[in-house]
Amino acid sequence: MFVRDRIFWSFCLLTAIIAVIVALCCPTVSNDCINRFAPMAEAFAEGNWQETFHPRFGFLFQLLTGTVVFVTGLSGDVACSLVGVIGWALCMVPLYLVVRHVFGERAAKVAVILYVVAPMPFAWALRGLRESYRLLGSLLMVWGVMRCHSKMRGGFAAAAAGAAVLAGIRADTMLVAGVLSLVYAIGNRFRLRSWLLFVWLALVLQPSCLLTWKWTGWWVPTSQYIPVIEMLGRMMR
Amino acid sequence: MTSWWSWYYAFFGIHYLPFVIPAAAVLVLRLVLRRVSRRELALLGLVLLMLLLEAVQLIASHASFEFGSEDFIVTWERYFGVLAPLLWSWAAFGVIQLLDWFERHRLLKVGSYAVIAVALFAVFAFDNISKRYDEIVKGAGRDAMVAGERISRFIARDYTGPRRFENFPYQINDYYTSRRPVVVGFWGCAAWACRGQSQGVMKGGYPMREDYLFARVDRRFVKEGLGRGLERSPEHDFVHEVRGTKFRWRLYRRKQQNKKVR
Repeated sequence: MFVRDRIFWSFCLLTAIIAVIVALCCPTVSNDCINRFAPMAEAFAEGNWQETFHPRFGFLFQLLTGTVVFVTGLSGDVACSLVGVIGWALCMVPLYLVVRHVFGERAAKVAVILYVVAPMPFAWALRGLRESYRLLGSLLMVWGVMRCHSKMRGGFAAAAAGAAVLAGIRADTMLVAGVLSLVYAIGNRFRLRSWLLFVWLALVLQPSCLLTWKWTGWWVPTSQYIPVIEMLGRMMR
Repeated sequence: MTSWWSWYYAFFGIHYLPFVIPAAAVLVLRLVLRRVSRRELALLGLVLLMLLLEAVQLIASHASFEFGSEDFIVTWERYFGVLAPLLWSWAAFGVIQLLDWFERHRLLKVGSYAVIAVALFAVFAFDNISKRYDEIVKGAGRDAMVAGERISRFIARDYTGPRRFENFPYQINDYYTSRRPVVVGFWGCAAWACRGQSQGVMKGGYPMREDYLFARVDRRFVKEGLGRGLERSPEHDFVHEVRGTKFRWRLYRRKQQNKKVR
């Protein structure tokens, strides 16, 4: 794929390089980044786990940005911008694959160009937000599910990767990962790979469960589920 | 914000108008002509499923959201607009169909130029390019950061208290650090450059009193009341003013610093 369409993928690579340079030179402000993810990244690099992880915010973004701060010595806000933009660039590949699966190769190329040109996804990434990883996880899972339903190979790995990203990146994407895994399993007719995907999803949710348990005493992936579970409990009584 | 705009924005604006309108047109046309493939239906179904899951969770956690409020717009844009690139694939497909049509009528060259011109016009005419230009080149988006960095140099000299709260009561409802000084401002970046704790105005629930207030001096803040009357406040002293890339900002220091709220 990459060799056959050298010019197109060179364009994508060039865009990604420019985006990374912009992220390093012009990291842009956002409240969520400055108040949460940037201090979290710096706390990770300092080994201050209490201020690195919080049960509302997953663990994957802190892990990535914190590692960047630890390795490079960049400040937290620049690290968030950089990691966000790398996620934005990575999205080009699964977006191409999904659209190629549905509409064919030429439409896939146009779709990637539209994605690159549109300012919204890039702006979110540049502001050090987690949205690009949400899109990345969703695209991988959608591609995996569609491949599975079309009885084509390669779906499991993509779905597993997407589930891992969605389970770790945000509280509200954990449910999406679970439901899309179920859709995968329906396409797979609940064969071995479906159960492997469920086990994998359960495994990647465990760090979040441990975190929530330490804060609240509940073994659930995020603290936002607790009021819902309590409400359901009251309704059952 | 009128409600018609909210509805319009909720369905189209958050998905970037220049791309989602052609995408919607192509999709509706294919549905009406019954040319839509099973894979397209699967993709549409998955996108709608993800949007539905998002909406359910958002309504469950933000049940008090006022439809049409700024909170609503900002939150819905970020929560729902993320999947927009998948919807734009119908626009991409439409472009290919259009080029094929031009080719069949031996108008490929003219047609290609026309498609590129319309696409460029759609993108550039829409305000986002100018916004991004402002943000990255002119620095409007960096205004708060630049002002914050400038004021934080002053804060770094001015603040003599401890760098962290001891026995800080970490909150389950949101993420707060024990860093000090605590600076409250509309944009939460005023203390960032001196690695204090910044808190946005809209953020409630921070368990300690702020050390400083940092307010932008322009119509927005006057309208929202943050900057109004702080000079006369018995709890605050006006201490410094800086300029960002566009606006003036004022810093107010709490007289009785660091009094614990709860």
